[in-house]
Amino acid sequence: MNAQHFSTPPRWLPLRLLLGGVVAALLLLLTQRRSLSTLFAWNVPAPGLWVRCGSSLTVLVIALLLAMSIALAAGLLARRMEPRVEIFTALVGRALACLPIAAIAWGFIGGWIGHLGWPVETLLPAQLPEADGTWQTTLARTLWEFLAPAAVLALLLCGEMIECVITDATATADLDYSLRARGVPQSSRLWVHHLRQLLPLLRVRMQSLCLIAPVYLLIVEDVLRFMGWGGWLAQSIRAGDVSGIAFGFITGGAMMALLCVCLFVLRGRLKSSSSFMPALAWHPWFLWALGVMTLPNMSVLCWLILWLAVLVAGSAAWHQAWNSIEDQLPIDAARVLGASEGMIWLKHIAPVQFRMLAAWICTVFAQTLLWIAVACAIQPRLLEELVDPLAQWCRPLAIVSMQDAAQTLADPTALLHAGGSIALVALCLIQVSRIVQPRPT
Amino acid sequence: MILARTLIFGFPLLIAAVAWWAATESQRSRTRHSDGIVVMLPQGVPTLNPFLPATEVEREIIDLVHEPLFRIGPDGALQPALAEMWRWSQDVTCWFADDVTAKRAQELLQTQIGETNRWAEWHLTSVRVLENRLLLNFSDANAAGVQQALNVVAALELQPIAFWRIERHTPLRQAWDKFIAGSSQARQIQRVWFDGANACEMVVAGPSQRLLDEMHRFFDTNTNEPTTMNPLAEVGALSEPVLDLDIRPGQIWHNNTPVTAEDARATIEFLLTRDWPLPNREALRHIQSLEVQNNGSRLHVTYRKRYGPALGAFVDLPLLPAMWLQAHPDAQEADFTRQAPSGAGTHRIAVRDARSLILVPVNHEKTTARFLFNFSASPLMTQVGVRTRTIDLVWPASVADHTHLTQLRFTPPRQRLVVLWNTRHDILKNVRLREALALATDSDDLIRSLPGRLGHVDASLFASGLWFSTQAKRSPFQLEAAQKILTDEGWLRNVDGLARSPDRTLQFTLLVPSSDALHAQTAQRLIAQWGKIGAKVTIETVEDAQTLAQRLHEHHFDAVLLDQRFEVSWDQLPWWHSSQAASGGTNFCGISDPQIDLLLETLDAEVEPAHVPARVRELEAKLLPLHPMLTLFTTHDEAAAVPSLQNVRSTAEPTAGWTLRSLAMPPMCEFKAPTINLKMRTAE
Repeated sequence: MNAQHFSTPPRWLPLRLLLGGVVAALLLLLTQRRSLSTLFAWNVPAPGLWVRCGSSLTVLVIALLLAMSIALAAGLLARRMEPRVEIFTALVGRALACLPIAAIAWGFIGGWIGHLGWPVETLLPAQLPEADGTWQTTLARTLWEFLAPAAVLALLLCGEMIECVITDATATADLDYSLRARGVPQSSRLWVHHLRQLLPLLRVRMQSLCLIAPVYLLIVEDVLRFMGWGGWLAQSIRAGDVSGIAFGFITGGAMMALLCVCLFVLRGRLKSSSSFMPALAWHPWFLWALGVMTLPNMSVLCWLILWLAVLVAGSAAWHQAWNSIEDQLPIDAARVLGASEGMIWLKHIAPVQFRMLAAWICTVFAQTLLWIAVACAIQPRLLEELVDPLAQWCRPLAIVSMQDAAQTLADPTALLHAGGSIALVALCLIQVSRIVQPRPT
Repeated sequence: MILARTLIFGFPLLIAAVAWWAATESQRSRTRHSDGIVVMLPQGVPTLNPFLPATEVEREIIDLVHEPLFRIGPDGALQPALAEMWRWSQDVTCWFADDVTAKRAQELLQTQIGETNRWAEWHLTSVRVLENRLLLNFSDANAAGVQQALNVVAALELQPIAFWRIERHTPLRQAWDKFIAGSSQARQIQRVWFDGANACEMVVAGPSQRLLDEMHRFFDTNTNEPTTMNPLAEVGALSEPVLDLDIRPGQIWHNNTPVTAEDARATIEFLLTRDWPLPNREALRHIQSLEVQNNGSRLHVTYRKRYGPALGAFVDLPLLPAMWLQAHPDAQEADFTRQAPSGAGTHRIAVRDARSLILVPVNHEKTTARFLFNFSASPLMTQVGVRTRTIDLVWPASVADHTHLTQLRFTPPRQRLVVLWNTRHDILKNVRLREALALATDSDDLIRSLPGRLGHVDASLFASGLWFSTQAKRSPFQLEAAQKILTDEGWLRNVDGLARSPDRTLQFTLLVPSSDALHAQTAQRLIAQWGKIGAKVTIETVEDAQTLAQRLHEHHFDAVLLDQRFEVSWDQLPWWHSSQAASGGTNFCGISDPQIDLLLETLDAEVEPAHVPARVRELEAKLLPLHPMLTLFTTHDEAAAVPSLQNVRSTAEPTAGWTLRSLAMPPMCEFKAPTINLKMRTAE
């Protein structure tokens, strides 16, 4: 549940992401007193970085497409059944989205390799060259090398998307009765009319996922030792390599921009927002926060930075939600009836604001918890800044050494317990938030 | 609608199907490497210096890539490798006043062939004249006929041959070379043998006074410390043992050039200039000269003195191509890494990079396995390899997950831990007491309680796998018998539990090198065990090897815990002969027994490997009852193997020994009792 709530994206989103990455990189270098020439030097921090970016982009595209198609299939099938199934499916999606990505990745390794004994290409030791190697084997190995991280990443994105497909369905105009009256069959109502209404919203959701999927990819590639952009940036973050992180911001922004451009192929568009809030919120704040907070001289402020990122990233959605609720409050009617401003606030605005505040606090807590788990998985040193019991929860997710990794592979129970606990707490907070949050009628 | 549904449902199904096929195909391809063995090693890539293996696995890789002249087979016997045959003989050289006299001597000896053929009786095979020298070759290294042959020519005024030892405090070699180049008397010097940097021994034919005067003048100019020149002996003829090694025809290096005796000569000369701690280096030290004969198929090694175990120097000593050695006269570690020399072993290096090494069989036989060594393997990668069954061996076994790798393999022992007693010590000079301490030592307990893979040892002076080892039984753990011996010897326990004689307590110190944790732990266990019979033992640690060596040479110890490195040599003279028992000698225990001395000298002079076991039995029958040392255990490397790995012998007994070679080349049949497989060349 790390994706921000629904808010319309600003205009020129791909360009903003690209420029945002460059600006963030420049600011990082300036604040860390590094020469800007490091960015323009052609000997980029990692040899073969462009190939790595291409590999990561491939994984991201597969994972996003997989997540979208599975979410659509699950969401629409659930809609076809009774409402309780739809609610349950949304809950499952929400629960899936609350799982820490490190727990999913290590759980996959523990189950796939540790339990089943099946290979993950990127983790396997070097092998003897095949005397009778065939093109099928080469193709299979290459495909599996990309599909394994894509599948792991898709699982989490799928949870986010299922929740979005079902939630967004309530935001569309209900044409069911009119279509039924016109004799449109049920499958057409669902797969044509409803889907057509849903697609613009889904595009926004996918754009929103494009901002956080690369952050998840850091962990997936790092855990699976995939030779991609994410694995490289995770190592740069862990090493505190400022120029590497800055270059990661730029390349990350470029990849996000490219993915957002690709999403223009989806039919239907919502009107882009031109206000300040979406322009501020629609940036990869979590990527930037993870890059900055893990620097050694930022350790005191690390959680403040993360918390600010959560606030800023969610600000547009909360602002939009409040505006739509506020529009429907009977304030003018109360004034006409002679109620004082104080009475209007007390009777009409304060209860809604209180509920909004409670929902916001719960959501921010849940998201902060999940991002703490992400941050600790990338940089285990941050655990020292946590207090118990949060540190206890996150410790199994922070694989410090190869011995820890081998131990986790042999017995991932502790890691799965930690991941499950964090997911449960985050899910409970999200559910409370959904319960108390007022909705526009 | 249909398109939308097809896309929405089809894409995940397509990805799932492709992923399933890819994963199954990948797994199938990973687990079908029946012709290869994948090894995971946490250590970094080894240098692969054939003469200085840092670890057991490096030693075994070298053993696959490089071939020695001889090797010890799995049955513990000498086996031919690059050398096909060997032959001991004896060269005798006499110097005469002139060429004419030398020729007369040759004619005199030729007349001895006659009807009775005394040459055959003397084992004399050839007589040659070279200027004023008469060269006689005897096929038997022990030939008694040498003296009889010399008696025939004795009347012709043989030039005296004097042995001189020259010593100085500064390096001698450069000055020596200058003297030889410039001196008119230098032609009298017939042999030179350098003993370290500052000393040499020379053989001078004829009157040597003028030569010595000139040497004194040359070496003592501009120096305050005169060079000392001491006569060692004077004889009528120079007798030198000779070992001929015939290179097996058809042997080639991995770069397809033939292996010749020149390669062997270049390798040995290269090693003689290095101070690397080679096994049996003492045998190399006695080499006087190396010569290539028979069109490069024979290496003619002349020794300065008769040294029986000289053959052992060539056992498991890898040969390198002479071309490589010429290109790298000062070969360092980097040369072995960057431009690895070709080998002549069963496997060649196919790929070598920063993390892996691939060895492939040279002969492409299906029965010979390929090897892939993954170096710097992390525990995670090792675990992944084990779980996915894509690796076969984890070395050392301690990093492996034993739930999946249940087959443990132990390498042959390279050393053992022993306690040496100082038999000059007031208390420890009593043989019965040393016997009691041996009986009170529970080696099973040591092996159980100490870390690492340890193996049982016998009491023999030699490694148990060798053909001449007697595998003499070690004193079994018998606490009561040990206590009885002490009581019989007058050592009674006091109220504190300490054994006391009327005038002293059973008390001594155990010298332990502090650098090794295993030594320290072993010492602690031994003290606890000996404490049960009332011995009060204190540990004294020594910081470095130099101090330890000094303490041993000065006999300044009671008992010492030492690693005994196994070598293919039956020379035990330095350790037990009474001539070495004085301060500064290497007979640290102080054993002094004329009968043992005689047996040691006989063993030292024995050149025939087949006769060695009998001589060793005789020696051990005399020496071991004196309990000069207490053998504790051998140390082994341990590897974990997948259960499916073929050709692995029983793992119950570590001393069985298991090597990569035994994995690469499965034995065709079970080994029988040790035999000497080497063919001795008969007299030509």
